[in-house]
Amino acid sequence: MMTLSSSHQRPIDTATLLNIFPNCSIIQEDYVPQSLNNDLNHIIEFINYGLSHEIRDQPNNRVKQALKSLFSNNMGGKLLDIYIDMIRQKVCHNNGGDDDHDDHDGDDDSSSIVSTVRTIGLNKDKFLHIAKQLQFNYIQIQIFERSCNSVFQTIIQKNNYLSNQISNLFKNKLFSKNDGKEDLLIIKSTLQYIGLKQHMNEIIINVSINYIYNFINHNFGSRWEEPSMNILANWSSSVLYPTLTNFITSDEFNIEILNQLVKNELVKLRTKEAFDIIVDYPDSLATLKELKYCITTQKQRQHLVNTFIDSCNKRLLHAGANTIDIIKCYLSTIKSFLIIDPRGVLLDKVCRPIRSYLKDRDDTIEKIVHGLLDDSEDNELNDLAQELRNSNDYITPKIDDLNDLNWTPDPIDALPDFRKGNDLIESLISIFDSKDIFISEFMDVFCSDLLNLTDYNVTDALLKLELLKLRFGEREFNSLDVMVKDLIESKRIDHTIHLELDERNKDNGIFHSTVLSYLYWPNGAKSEEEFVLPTQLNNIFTNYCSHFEKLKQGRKLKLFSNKGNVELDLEFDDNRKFTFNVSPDKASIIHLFSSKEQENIKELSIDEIMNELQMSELLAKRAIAFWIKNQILLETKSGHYKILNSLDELSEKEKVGGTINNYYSTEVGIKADAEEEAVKLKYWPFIEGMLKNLGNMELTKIHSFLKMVVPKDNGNGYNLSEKQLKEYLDNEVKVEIDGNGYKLAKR
Amino acid sequence: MFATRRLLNEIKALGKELPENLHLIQTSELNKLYVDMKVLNNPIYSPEDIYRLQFIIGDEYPFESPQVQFILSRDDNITKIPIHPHIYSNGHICLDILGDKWSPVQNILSTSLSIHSMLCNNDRNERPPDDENYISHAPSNPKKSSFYYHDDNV
Amino acid sequence: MKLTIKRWHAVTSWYWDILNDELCGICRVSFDGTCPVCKYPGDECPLVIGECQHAFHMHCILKWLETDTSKGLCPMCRQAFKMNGGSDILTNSAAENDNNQNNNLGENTAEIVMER
Repeated sequence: MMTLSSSHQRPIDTATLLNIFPNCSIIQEDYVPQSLNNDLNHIIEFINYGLSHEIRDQPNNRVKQALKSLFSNNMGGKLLDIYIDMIRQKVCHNNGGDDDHDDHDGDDDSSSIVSTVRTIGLNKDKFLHIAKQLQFNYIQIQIFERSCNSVFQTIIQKNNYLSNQISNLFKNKLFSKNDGKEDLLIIKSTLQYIGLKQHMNEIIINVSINYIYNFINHNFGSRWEEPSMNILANWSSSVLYPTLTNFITSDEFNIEILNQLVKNELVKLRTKEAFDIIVDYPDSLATLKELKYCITTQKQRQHLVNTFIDSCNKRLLHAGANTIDIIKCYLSTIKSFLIIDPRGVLLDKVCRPIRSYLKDRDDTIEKIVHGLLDDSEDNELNDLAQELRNSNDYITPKIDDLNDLNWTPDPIDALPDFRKGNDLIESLISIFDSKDIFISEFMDVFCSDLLNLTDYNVTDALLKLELLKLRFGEREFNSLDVMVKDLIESKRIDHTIHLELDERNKDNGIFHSTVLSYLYWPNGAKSEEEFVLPTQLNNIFTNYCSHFEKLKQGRKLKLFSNKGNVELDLEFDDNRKFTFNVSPDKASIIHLFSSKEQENIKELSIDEIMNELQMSELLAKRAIAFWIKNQILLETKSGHYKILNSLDELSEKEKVGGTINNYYSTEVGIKADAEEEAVKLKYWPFIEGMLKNLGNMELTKIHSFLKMVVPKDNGNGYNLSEKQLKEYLDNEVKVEIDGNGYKLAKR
Repeated sequence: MFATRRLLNEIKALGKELPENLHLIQTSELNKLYVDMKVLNNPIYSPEDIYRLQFIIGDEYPFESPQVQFILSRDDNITKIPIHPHIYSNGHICLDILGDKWSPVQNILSTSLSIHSMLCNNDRNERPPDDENYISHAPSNPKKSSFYYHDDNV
Repeated sequence: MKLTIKRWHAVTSWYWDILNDELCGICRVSFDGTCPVCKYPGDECPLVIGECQHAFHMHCILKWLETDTSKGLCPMCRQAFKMNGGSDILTNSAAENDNNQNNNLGENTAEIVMER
């Protein structure tokens, strides 16, 4: 327990003083006449007595005499100095043991703090009382009080233990609903008494700020749908302000300042939450608007930007994140930061890292392009499709500039257009230096869409093409124009040819074709693997060709044998009936089996098939696996196949296993190739996802990744060896080898 | 449009097509090109010398011939017009395919090769006989001259 | 098993049946593309084959033959450029009207001489 009054203390005499302050001229005995020296000793004795006793005696006559003598000799100032030194000496000495208190667990030891502080106040009273008894004049008293204050201030401010105790006490009690604020008021007034008003205010402000933050966090943290400012302003004026006015004695403190503190804390919280708020857009609209209103200083803006970029790097811009999510977040970032700062200066800073990250991702353009063109509901970037649809309102600004006589150039630090407005599509396009890559991606998408058409209906494609032209400029779309026109022309040709065809031969009627101007189509339009059609099918094609050649003189047709679509019916002796829509390679293989069957050849080997159709082993095996899976073909022994004319030919196990649509399940009974195919289908989504997000990956990494992610349900987890995986990846056309690793093949 | 497209096609291919001793230089103007050439294995020409052939492509190219002549360039240290009985000392070339024997299937490559082989096969260290007279009256555009083709054997 | 193919939608590409060359000598673009003026290949930018068997985009050769320099000569062989007769200009309309005519380009020439 610390007290400042100590009873077992030696009285201070001049000898002691000289010992402590050897250079202190005022007490050098040489300079003080003997009688005065005596006087001084009497007075010091009086002071010492006063300091160490509670009783406040009047000075006796000897002391009064001595004082008179000193003051008449102009020694008042010296006496003051001596007294101050004595006070300092006493207080510091008593306070020397403060370290002992550090191991006190004094959290709720409020009464001891209060009594400590109260003692300080009482001591000051006593010191002042003695000073007055010493008959110092007004100015000397003031000097004394100031010195006295500074001694006490040192105690409080240098003593972390005590400061913390006081802060803690305020933290616990200032806003508590219980009473007990008397203690706080005592501390507050004592600290003010010893000149620590400012210090006291700081403690209270710090405690308040903490309290405000916790209050906001508790009531509004992670809640972004509703505005919070009204409630907070209310709370501030009805709860906070009345409490604080009792404690903060400053002319500068008022409700506006308090409200500013509240806003600052709100900004602090929202800054911390920035990333989630932006991901939550547009549900977080209310919060964003509020943030705009509350954020006022450059420092707050800078902090918001830094925090957001930090979170982006940690939570978004890494290999594990999905490209679509990154794009979505980028779009939300644009919209959100334009709300917080409509000038776009903040946006400019925060979007840079996202832009440069997106620029380096392999599938960014593909995702943007699909987002633009896919108007189905499962388009995750539906905003883009919507905006493209609304492009009719979009006017190329350049055209305007040319006609506007009052046009002035943008200032040199002007932000790119999208950062001034709300043009999301432009904001994505501008990530990339050139539009060419977009055009080639558009070509790929259009190519696959157009080649999938079997009714030549290009209405949708034409509409999209026109919308894209509004965005990207007419000139870039020459090839796409030709591609779409090829479809229109193909329809005309097909119609004309079918008018000419001899319909008595039923075969002729089934063939239709999309005729490409091949120079204008992307490589994906051409077959990866060509083969020779079975004779009957080839005759149908040749017949169509000859009509084409008549129609378009000087021109011929080349077939992309593996492209297109064949619709066929299969009927079996056991009354099974199926309709399939398959690629020509699959159709050709089943056709081959069918025609061989008529020649009474029941079984074909893989080599015979490859030989007849001039087909690669991979393509042939894949097609066979398809037919096996659908229980059309059966593998009799390794590499030999026949038509499964009756399900009776299957073992019991196999019968249960296969159903037509059961595409993704691995069935125990299906043999080699089919099993291989099923395995691929099962792991493929994982591999695809991984390569999409990570670009190039090494075999070992893919292997260990699959081990981790493929679900182990029904004992069907990932069970390939690394060698088997390599074999599979090397044969998978959707993957290509890239340096030491694999990446997704471009379509 | 026709000229530009065809020219772009040509320039794209020229890098690969030009033989070692010929070198294409593009200028800041699309329609102005240089082909720098060296003539090796002919004692008339120093193998170190570089001759610069200038092509100016008109809007009607390739239906009209380009304007072709040898030029000098102090900056690039090209100081000589190759000596040849069909090449005037001002760089003008007297060659039928640059005039009325031009055909649109000719191009920068074929023209450069013709002129280069003209130099390679030359065995006469002399200027055209009317050189002095010609250069004192010659128009700046060689296409404006109606050449008399002195000797088709050269 | 009974197999019935109900419909086969194939993907094909067209090409000009030119033996010797891929590029039009005048514009240096593939025959299967367009001359520098046209946008759509094929019907809108047909080919012409001369009697000398040299082929060009129609628009290219016509433009050449219009110039004084050409003197009506084939840019390749400098013989007088004569179109193959009958179905000489390989436009769609011409071809469709002549569907039943002989379409063998090598024969049946009608000696149309293009004068400048």
